[in-house]
Amino acid sequence: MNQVLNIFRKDTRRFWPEILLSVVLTFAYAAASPNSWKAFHDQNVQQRMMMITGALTFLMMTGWWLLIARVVHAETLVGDRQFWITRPYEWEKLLAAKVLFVAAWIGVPYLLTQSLVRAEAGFSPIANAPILLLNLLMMSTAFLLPLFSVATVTANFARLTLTLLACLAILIGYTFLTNGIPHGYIASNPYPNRVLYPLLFCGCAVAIALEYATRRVWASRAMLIVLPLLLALSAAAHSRQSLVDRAYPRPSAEVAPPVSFALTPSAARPIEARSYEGWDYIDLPFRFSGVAEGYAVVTADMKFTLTAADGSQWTSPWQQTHDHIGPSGHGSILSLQMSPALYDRFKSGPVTLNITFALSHYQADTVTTMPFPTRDQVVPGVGTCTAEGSGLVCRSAHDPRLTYASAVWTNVPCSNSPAPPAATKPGAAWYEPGNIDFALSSVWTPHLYFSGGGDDDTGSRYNWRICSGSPFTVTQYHLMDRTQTSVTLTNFALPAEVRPT
Amino acid sequence: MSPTIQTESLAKSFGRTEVLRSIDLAVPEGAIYALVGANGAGKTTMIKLLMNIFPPTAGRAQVLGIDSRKLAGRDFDRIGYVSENQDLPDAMTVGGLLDYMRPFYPTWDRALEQQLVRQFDLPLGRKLKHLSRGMRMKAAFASSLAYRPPLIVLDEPFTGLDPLVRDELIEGLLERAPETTIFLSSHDLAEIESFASHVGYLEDGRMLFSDEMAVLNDRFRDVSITLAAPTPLPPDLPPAWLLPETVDCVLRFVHSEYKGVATDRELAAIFASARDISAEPMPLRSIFLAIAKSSRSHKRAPHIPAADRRSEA
Repeated sequence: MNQVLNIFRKDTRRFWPEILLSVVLTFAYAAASPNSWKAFHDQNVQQRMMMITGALTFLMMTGWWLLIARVVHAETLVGDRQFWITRPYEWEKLLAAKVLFVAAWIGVPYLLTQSLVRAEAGFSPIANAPILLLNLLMMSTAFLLPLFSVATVTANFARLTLTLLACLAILIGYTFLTNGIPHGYIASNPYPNRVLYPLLFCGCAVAIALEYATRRVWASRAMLIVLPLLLALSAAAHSRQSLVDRAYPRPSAEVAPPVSFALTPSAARPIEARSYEGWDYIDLPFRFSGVAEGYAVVTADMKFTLTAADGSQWTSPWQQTHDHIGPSGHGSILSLQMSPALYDRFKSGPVTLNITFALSHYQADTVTTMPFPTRDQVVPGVGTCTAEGSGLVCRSAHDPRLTYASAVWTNVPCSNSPAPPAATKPGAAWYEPGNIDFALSSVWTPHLYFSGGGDDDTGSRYNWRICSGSPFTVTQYHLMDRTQTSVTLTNFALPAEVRPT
Repeated sequence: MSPTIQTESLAKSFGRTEVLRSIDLAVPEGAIYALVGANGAGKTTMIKLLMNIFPPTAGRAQVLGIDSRKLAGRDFDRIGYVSENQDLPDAMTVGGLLDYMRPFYPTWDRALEQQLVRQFDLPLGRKLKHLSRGMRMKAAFASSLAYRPPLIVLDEPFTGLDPLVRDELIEGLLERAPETTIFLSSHDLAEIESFASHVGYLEDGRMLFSDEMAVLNDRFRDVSITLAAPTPLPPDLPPAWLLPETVDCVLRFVHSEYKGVATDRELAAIFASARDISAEPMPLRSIFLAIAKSSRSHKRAPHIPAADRRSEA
C-alpha cells in the first residue's frame, strides 16, 4: 500500500496543473449542464448556451485524456530506457496507483459535480447514488478505460494522439459497417447490445493488466487491435437484418393487427417518386389508424415487396421507419427505397405492393390529467417541466418510458380563457426513451414538442400557443409485444417521373 | 560460492540480426567486472538481458541466483542499475528523486544518502532536466547506491563525462566495492584499467575472453626478438603468438600464453641465434588492441586458452 500511495503522491505533485485543469473543466461542464433543461425564450441565447455546453464537454474530455496520458506515461510501459523498470516497482501496485489517480482526480470530481447537477435539478444525489455510480462505470468503460489501455501501449502523448486518431478512423468505419448494410439500407437495432460494454471492459482491462504484468507491448497491442474487431462483430451480430425478423415475429393468422393502414394520396400530398444520392424513393402518404383506446403502436422497420404482372418479384431489406401511433391515428409519408434499375423494371406496369411493418405494441398504464405547466412543475413519470415555445422542456432523474402527451393549441390570447372551441385545436407530443445506456450528464432532459401548431389554413404558426393551465394529459406506456403486420396494395402504379432532389 | 552473475549460451537476436552469440560468463561475488568492447559490440544488450529489460533469444542468465527472465519488482531491492542512456524522471528535483525512491527500498541508508549528496555535491533543489550530464549521472548514482545493493550494474557510466566527474563517480563506486559486486560496461579501456578486478572482451556479439585482470596482465607480453640477420616471417608460428611482424632484424609479436621463465627459456631455445629477446608487460589497452586486431585479421577468435574463455576468473 505504501508503494501505491508513494506513486500516487508523486503523480499528484507532478501533475497538479493537469489535475487542476481537468477538475476546473469538470466543474465548468457541470455548471453549464443546467442549460440543457433551462427554457430559453431567445433562440440565439439557447444556441449559444448549447454551443458552450458542447465545447465544455469536449474540453472536459480532452482534460481527462491529457491527465490519463500524462499519468500513464509517467511510468511508460513502452521502451527500454525508463528508469523505473530496474527499480523495485511491483506491477500490481503501479497499476493500482494509476487507477487510484484516475479515480481520485477524474472519478471523484465527476461524481461530485454530477451530484451537484442532480441537486441543482431538484433530485436527491444520495437517493440516486446507484444511478450516478452506474453512469460513472459506463462512462469509464466507454471512454476512460479504452483511453487508459491505449496509453499503456504507447510511449508518449504524441503517439497516443496519433493512435487515437487512427482509432477514430476505425470507429467511423465501424459505425458505417454496423449502421448501414451494403446498398444503403438501414435497419433499426432491435436489441440493445448487452455484449458490447462487458466485452469492451474485459478486453481493455486484460490488455492493461497484461501490459503492466509483462510489458510485452506487442501482445497487448494485438489484443487492443483484436478488440475493436470483436466489438464490431458483436455490434454487427446485433444489427443484422435477420434480427428484425427474430425480434418482431410474424403473427398467427387469427390475431387481428393492432393497427391498420390506408394509402391516402391527396392533391397536397400525392404519391411521388424522387431520386436522392443514387437511390429512388417512392413517397407514399399513409394513414395509420385503428389503435384501440389505451394502446399505442410504434413502427421500427418496414420492408416492401413488388410483384409485377409477369410474376417477377423483388423484396427490399428492412429499412428504418419511425412513427408513433395512438388511438387518434397518425398520418405519415413512407419512403420506399430502391435502386433506379429496379424502379425502371417495375414502373412499366401495375404491380402488387406489399408493405410489412415491424412494430411494437404498447399498453397505457398511467394517465395523468393536469393543467398545462408553466415553470418547474412536476409532470408525473416525465420530470420537472417548464413551458417553452411549442412544448415542454423537462428534466428527469431517469430516462422516462414511452410517453404520449396531449394539449390544446389556441389562437387567441391566453388571457381570453377559456378559449372558444373554434379557436382551438389538439396538439400531441411523443417521447420515446433513447437507446443510449448512459450519458455524461446524469440528468435526463426529455422534451415534449407538440405537433399541430404549425402552418395551416387557419393562420400563421405564431398565432398558435398552448396556454398555461389549459387541459393537458400525459399517458405512459409499457411494451406488450412486438410483431409484424402487412398491407397489400394491388394495381399499384409507380409514378412515371422520378423527380430529382 | 555461486557467482553473482552467470550466463549459459546466452544469445539475443533482433529479427535476423544476431547481437549476442552464446555468451558464457561468470562474475564472482565481490568482483568489479568490466565488460569492454567497441561501440555496437553488444555490451548494452548484454546488460539489458541481465536486467530483464529484454528477454534472451536463447540460453539463460542468473542474477543473484534468480533467472533473469523472472527478475522483477522486489528483486531490484538488491540491484543498483545506472545507464548512460536511461530516461530519468526529469521533472523531479534531485531531492524529490531521493525522497521518492527512499520508501521503495527497505535497506535505504539515509546517512549514506546524505554522504553521497555531499560527496557528489548534488544540488537537491534543482530539477534533473536542468542538470548537466555529469550531475545527472551523479544523481542516478546516489539514488542507486544509497540502499547498499549487493550488485551494481552500470552501462557505460562514464561516457562523455569530464575527468573530474568521472573520478568522483569512480571514487564513490569504489567506496561501495567491498560490500558489493560491480558489473559495468565501457568502451574506454583506460577508465576501467585502474579499478576493475575482472575484464571481459566482447566483439561483434562474441565474448572473446573473460579473465581476471592480474592473470591477463601476467599472460600477455609484448615480445621483441632481435635476430642476427633480417629474416622473413616464418610460417606456422604458434597460435598464441598474435600479430607477428618482422622489421629488418626484429621479430615482434604479442604472446598470449606467457608463462614467465618457462616461456623465456622456450623463446631462447627457438631463437638460439637471437641477439636480444625481451618480453615486456603490456597495458590493458595494448592487450585489447592486439586481441581485436588478431581477431579481425583471422576472422575468428584469437588463441585464448579454452579454460580462460569460459572463465570464472
